[in-house]
Amino acid sequence: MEDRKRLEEIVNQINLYQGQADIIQQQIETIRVSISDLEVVESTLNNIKGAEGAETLVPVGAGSFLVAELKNTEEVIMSIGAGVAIKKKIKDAKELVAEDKAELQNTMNKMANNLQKISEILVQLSPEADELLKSVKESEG
Amino acid sequence: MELPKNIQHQIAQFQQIQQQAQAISMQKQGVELQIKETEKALEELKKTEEDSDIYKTAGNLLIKVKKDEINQELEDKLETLKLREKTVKRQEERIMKKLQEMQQSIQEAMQGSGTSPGLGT
Repeated sequence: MEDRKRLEEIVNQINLYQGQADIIQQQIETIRVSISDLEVVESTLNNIKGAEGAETLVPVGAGSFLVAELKNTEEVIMSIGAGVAIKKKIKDAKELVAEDKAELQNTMNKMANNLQKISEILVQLSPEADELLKSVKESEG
Repeated sequence: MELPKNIQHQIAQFQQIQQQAQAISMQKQGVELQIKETEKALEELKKTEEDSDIYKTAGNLLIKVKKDEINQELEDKLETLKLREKTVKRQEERIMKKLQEMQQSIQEAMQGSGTSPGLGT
Protein backbone atom coordinates (compact mmCIF):
# COMPACT_ATOMS: atom_id res chain seq x y z
CA MET A 1 0.00 0.00 0.00
CA GLU A 2 2.86 2.35 0.93
CA ASP A 3 4.62 1.58 -2.37
CA ARG A 4 1.46 2.27 -4.34
CA LYS A 5 1.01 5.61 -2.59
CA ARG A 6 4.63 6.62 -3.22
CA LEU A 7 4.31 5.47 -6.86
CA GLU A 8 1.25 7.69 -7.34
CA GLU A 9 3.16 10.62 -5.86
CA ILE A 10 6.16 10.06 -8.12
CA VAL A 11 4.00 9.64 -11.23
CA ASN A 12 2.27 12.93 -10.42
CA GLN A 13 5.62 14.63 -9.93
CA ILE A 14 6.99 13.20 -13.19
CA ASN A 15 3.91 14.38 -15.11
CA LEU A 16 4.19 17.84 -13.58
CA TYR A 17 7.91 18.20 -14.37
CA GLN A 18 7.41 16.77 -17.85
CA GLY A 19 4.66 19.33 -18.51
CA GLN A 20 6.94 22.15 -17.35
CA ALA A 21 9.80 20.83 -19.48
CA ASP A 22 7.54 20.77 -22.57
CA ILE A 23 6.44 24.37 -21.98
CA ILE A 24 10.04 25.57 -21.51
CA GLN A 25 11.10 23.69 -24.66
CA GLN A 26 8.35 25.45 -26.65
CA GLN A 27 9.39 28.82 -25.25
CA ILE A 28 13.03 28.16 -26.16
CA GLU A 29 11.95 27.37 -29.73
CA THR A 30 9.97 30.64 -29.92
CA ILE A 31 13.01 32.60 -28.71
CA ARG A 32 15.23 30.80 -31.20
CA VAL A 33 12.90 31.91 -34.04
CA SER A 34 13.05 35.53 -32.76
CA ILE A 35 16.85 35.41 -32.62
CA SER A 36 17.14 34.12 -36.16
CA ASP A 37 14.73 36.87 -37.26
CA LEU A 38 17.06 39.43 -35.67
CA GLU A 39 20.02 37.80 -37.40
CA VAL A 40 18.33 38.39 -40.75
CA VAL A 41 17.93 42.11 -39.94
CA GLU A 42 21.52 42.24 -38.69
CA SER A 43 22.83 40.74 -41.90
CA THR A 44 20.67 43.06 -44.06
CA LEU A 45 21.84 46.15 -42.14
CA ASN A 46 25.45 45.03 -42.51
CA ASN A 47 25.14 44.52 -46.26
CA ILE A 48 23.02 47.52 -47.24
CA LYS A 49 25.80 50.09 -46.87
CA GLY A 50 26.63 51.77 -50.17
CA ALA A 51 23.87 49.98 -52.05
CA GLU A 52 21.98 53.22 -52.78
CA GLY A 53 20.34 53.13 -56.19
CA ALA A 54 20.56 49.35 -56.40
CA GLU A 55 17.66 47.48 -57.93
CA THR A 56 15.74 45.47 -55.38
CA LEU A 57 12.66 43.25 -55.32
CA VAL A 58 9.98 44.14 -52.78
CA PRO A 59 7.87 41.19 -51.65
CA VAL A 60 4.13 41.89 -51.97
CA GLY A 61 2.96 38.45 -50.86
CA ALA A 62 2.32 35.02 -52.41
CA GLY A 63 5.84 34.88 -53.84
CA SER A 64 5.27 38.04 -55.91
CA PHE A 65 7.65 41.01 -56.06
CA LEU A 66 7.73 44.60 -57.29
CA VAL A 67 10.91 45.97 -58.79
CA ALA A 68 12.17 48.96 -56.80
CA GLU A 69 15.26 51.06 -56.34
CA LEU A 70 16.93 51.62 -52.98
CA LYS A 71 16.52 55.29 -52.16
CA ASN A 72 17.93 55.54 -48.66
CA THR A 73 20.51 53.20 -47.19
CA GLU A 74 21.47 55.48 -44.30
CA GLU A 75 18.28 54.96 -42.32
CA VAL A 76 15.88 52.17 -41.57
CA ILE A 77 12.36 52.07 -40.13
CA MET A 78 12.35 49.59 -37.31
CA SER A 79 9.73 48.29 -34.95
CA ILE A 80 10.17 49.11 -31.26
CA GLY A 81 7.19 46.97 -30.22
CA ALA A 82 3.63 47.89 -29.20
CA GLY A 83 2.79 48.63 -32.84
CA VAL A 84 5.24 51.52 -33.14
CA ALA A 85 8.14 51.92 -35.59
CA ILE A 86 10.87 54.56 -35.66
CA LYS A 87 13.20 55.77 -38.37
CA LYS A 88 16.73 55.13 -37.18
CA LYS A 89 20.24 55.59 -38.45
CA ILE A 90 21.71 52.24 -39.53
CA LYS A 91 24.33 52.44 -36.75
CA ASP A 92 21.68 53.02 -34.03
CA ALA A 93 19.47 50.31 -35.50
CA LYS A 94 22.34 47.85 -35.36
CA GLU A 95 22.91 48.70 -31.69
CA LEU A 96 19.24 48.15 -30.89
CA VAL A 97 19.24 44.81 -32.72
CA ALA A 98 22.38 43.74 -30.85
CA GLU A 99 20.77 44.70 -27.50
CA ASP A 100 17.58 42.77 -28.28
CA LYS A 101 19.57 39.76 -29.45
CA ALA A 102 21.73 39.73 -26.30
CA GLU A 103 18.63 39.98 -24.11
CA LEU A 104 16.96 37.09 -25.94
CA GLN A 105 20.09 34.97 -25.78
CA ASN A 106 20.37 35.63 -22.06
CA THR A 107 16.74 34.58 -21.51
CA MET A 108 17.27 31.49 -23.68
CA ASN A 109 20.33 30.48 -21.64
CA LYS A 110 18.41 30.85 -18.38
CA MET A 111 15.60 28.72 -19.80
CA ALA A 112 18.04 26.08 -21.03
CA ASN A 113 19.48 25.93 -17.49
CA ASN A 114 16.02 25.45 -16.02
CA LEU A 115 15.30 22.75 -18.58
CA GLN A 116 18.55 21.02 -17.65
CA LYS A 117 17.60 21.08 -13.95
CA ILE A 118 14.17 19.60 -14.69
CA SER A 119 15.73 16.91 -16.89
CA GLU A 120 18.08 15.96 -14.03
CA ILE A 121 15.13 15.66 -11.63
CA LEU A 122 13.28 13.49 -14.17
CA VAL A 123 16.33 11.26 -14.58
CA GLN A 124 16.42 10.81 -10.79
CA LEU A 125 12.68 10.12 -10.47
CA SER A 126 12.27 7.64 -13.32
CA PRO A 127 14.33 4.73 -11.89
CA GLU A 128 12.54 5.07 -8.54
CA ALA A 129 9.18 4.95 -10.32
CA ASP A 130 10.30 1.83 -12.27
CA GLU A 131 11.39 0.11 -9.06
CA LEU A 132 8.14 0.94 -7.27
CA LEU A 133 6.06 -0.18 -10.25
CA LYS A 134 7.87 -3.52 -10.23
CA SER A 135 7.34 -3.96 -6.51
CA VAL A 136 3.63 -2.97 -6.72
CA LYS A 137 3.12 -5.44 -9.59
CA GLU A 138 4.85 -8.22 -7.66
CA SER A 139 2.85 -7.60 -4.47
CA GLU A 140 -0.44 -7.41 -6.38
CA GLY A 141 0.25 -10.08 -8.96
CA MET B 1 -10.48 0.41 -6.73
CA GLU B 2 -13.54 2.48 -7.71
CA LEU B 3 -13.76 5.93 -6.10
CA PRO B 4 -17.03 6.95 -4.43
CA LYS B 5 -19.31 8.94 -6.76
CA ASN B 6 -19.18 12.15 -4.72
CA ILE B 7 -15.35 12.14 -4.75
CA GLN B 8 -15.32 11.48 -8.50
CA HIS B 9 -17.60 14.46 -8.93
CA GLN B 10 -15.36 16.65 -6.75
CA ILE B 11 -12.27 15.61 -8.73
CA ALA B 12 -13.99 16.41 -12.03
CA GLN B 13 -14.92 19.85 -10.68
CA PHE B 14 -11.37 20.33 -9.39
CA GLN B 15 -9.90 19.53 -12.81
CA GLN B 16 -12.31 21.94 -14.50
CA ILE B 17 -11.29 24.75 -12.16
CA GLN B 18 -7.64 23.80 -12.61
CA GLN B 19 -8.07 24.36 -16.36
CA GLN B 20 -9.68 27.73 -15.69
CA ALA B 21 -6.74 28.62 -13.43
CA GLN B 22 -4.30 27.73 -16.21
CA ALA B 23 -6.23 29.90 -18.67
CA ILE B 24 -6.18 32.83 -16.21
CA SER B 25 -2.47 32.35 -15.59
CA MET B 26 -1.82 32.47 -19.36
CA GLN B 27 -3.95 35.59 -19.63
CA LYS B 28 -1.87 37.20 -16.89
CA GLN B 29 1.35 36.30 -18.66
CA GLY B 30 -0.01 37.81 -21.88
CA VAL B 31 -0.91 41.07 -20.16
CA GLU B 32 2.47 41.23 -18.37
CA LEU B 33 4.21 40.73 -21.70
CA GLN B 34 2.20 43.55 -23.29
CA ILE B 35 3.04 45.84 -20.35
CA LYS B 36 6.74 45.11 -20.73
CA GLU B 37 6.57 45.72 -24.49
CA THR B 38 4.70 49.00 -24.10
CA GLU B 39 7.12 50.22 -21.40
CA LYS B 40 10.06 49.36 -23.64
CA ALA B 41 8.48 51.19 -26.58
CA LEU B 42 7.87 54.27 -24.38
CA GLU B 43 11.47 54.15 -23.21
CA GLU B 44 12.69 53.96 -26.79
CA LEU B 45 10.39 56.85 -27.78
CA LYS B 46 11.93 59.01 -25.03
CA LYS B 47 15.32 58.63 -26.66
CA THR B 48 14.11 59.90 -30.05
CA GLU B 49 14.20 63.52 -31.18
CA GLU B 50 10.94 65.50 -31.32
CA ASP B 51 11.01 65.70 -35.13
CA SER B 52 11.90 62.04 -35.72
CA ASP B 53 9.86 60.02 -38.16
CA ILE B 54 7.61 57.79 -36.10
CA TYR B 55 5.08 55.36 -37.52
CA LYS B 56 2.19 53.38 -36.15
CA THR B 57 1.40 49.99 -37.60
CA ALA B 58 -2.03 49.51 -39.12
CA GLY B 59 -2.08 45.96 -40.46
CA ASN B 60 0.53 45.87 -43.20
CA LEU B 61 0.71 49.64 -43.38
CA LEU B 62 2.82 52.10 -41.44
CA ILE B 63 1.17 55.44 -40.73
CA LYS B 64 3.24 58.47 -39.79
CA VAL B 65 2.31 59.92 -36.40
CA LYS B 66 3.46 62.76 -34.16
CA LYS B 67 5.68 61.84 -31.22
CA ASP B 68 3.47 63.36 -28.51
CA GLU B 69 0.36 61.71 -29.97
CA ILE B 70 1.83 58.22 -29.98
CA ASN B 71 3.39 58.85 -26.59
CA GLN B 72 0.00 59.69 -25.12
CA GLU B 73 -1.56 56.70 -26.86
CA LEU B 74 1.02 54.34 -25.36
CA GLU B 75 0.66 55.90 -21.89
CA ASP B 76 -3.12 55.33 -22.09
CA LYS B 77 -2.57 51.79 -23.30
CA LEU B 78 -0.19 51.14 -20.41
CA GLU B 79 -2.71 52.42 -17.89
CA THR B 80 -5.43 50.15 -19.30
CA LEU B 81 -3.06 47.18 -19.32
CA LYS B 82 -2.04 47.76 -15.70
CA LEU B 83 -5.69 47.88 -14.67
CA ARG B 84 -6.31 44.66 -16.57
CA GLU B 85 -3.28 43.10 -14.86
CA LYS B 86 -4.73 43.96 -11.43
CA THR B 87 -8.06 42.35 -12.32
CA VAL B 88 -6.46 39.18 -13.69
CA LYS B 89 -4.20 38.92 -10.62
CA ARG B 90 -7.23 39.16 -8.35
CA GLN B 91 -9.01 36.50 -10.41
CA GLU B 92 -5.92 34.28 -10.16
CA GLU B 93 -5.68 34.68 -6.39
CA ARG B 94 -9.36 33.82 -5.98
CA ILE B 95 -9.19 30.74 -8.18
CA MET B 96 -5.96 29.47 -6.55
CA LYS B 97 -7.57 29.81 -3.13
CA LYS B 98 -10.60 27.88 -4.36
CA LEU B 99 -8.34 25.16 -5.78
CA GLN B 100 -6.52 24.81 -2.45
CA GLU B 101 -9.81 24.51 -0.59
CA MET B 102 -11.07 21.91 -3.04
CA GLN B 103 -7.83 19.95 -2.85
CA GLN B 104 -8.07 19.90 0.94
CA SER B 105 -11.69 18.80 0.86
CA ILE B 106 -10.93 16.01 -1.68
CA GLN B 107 -7.98 14.79 0.38
CA GLU B 108 -10.14 14.69 3.50
CA ALA B 109 -12.91 12.88 1.65
CA MET B 110 -10.42 10.35 0.27
CA GLN B 111 -8.82 9.74 3.63
CA GLY B 112 -12.30 9.30 5.09
CA SER B 113 -13.16 6.70 2.46
CA GLY B 114 -9.79 4.94 2.81
CA THR B 115 -8.41 5.81 -0.65
CA SER B 116 -5.08 7.53 -1.20
CA PRO B 117 -5.16 11.07 -2.67
CA GLY B 118 -3.31 11.38 -5.97
CA LEU B 119 -4.12 14.77 -7.44
CA GLY B 120 -1.70 16.19 -9.96
CA THR B 121 -1.23 19.58 -8.34
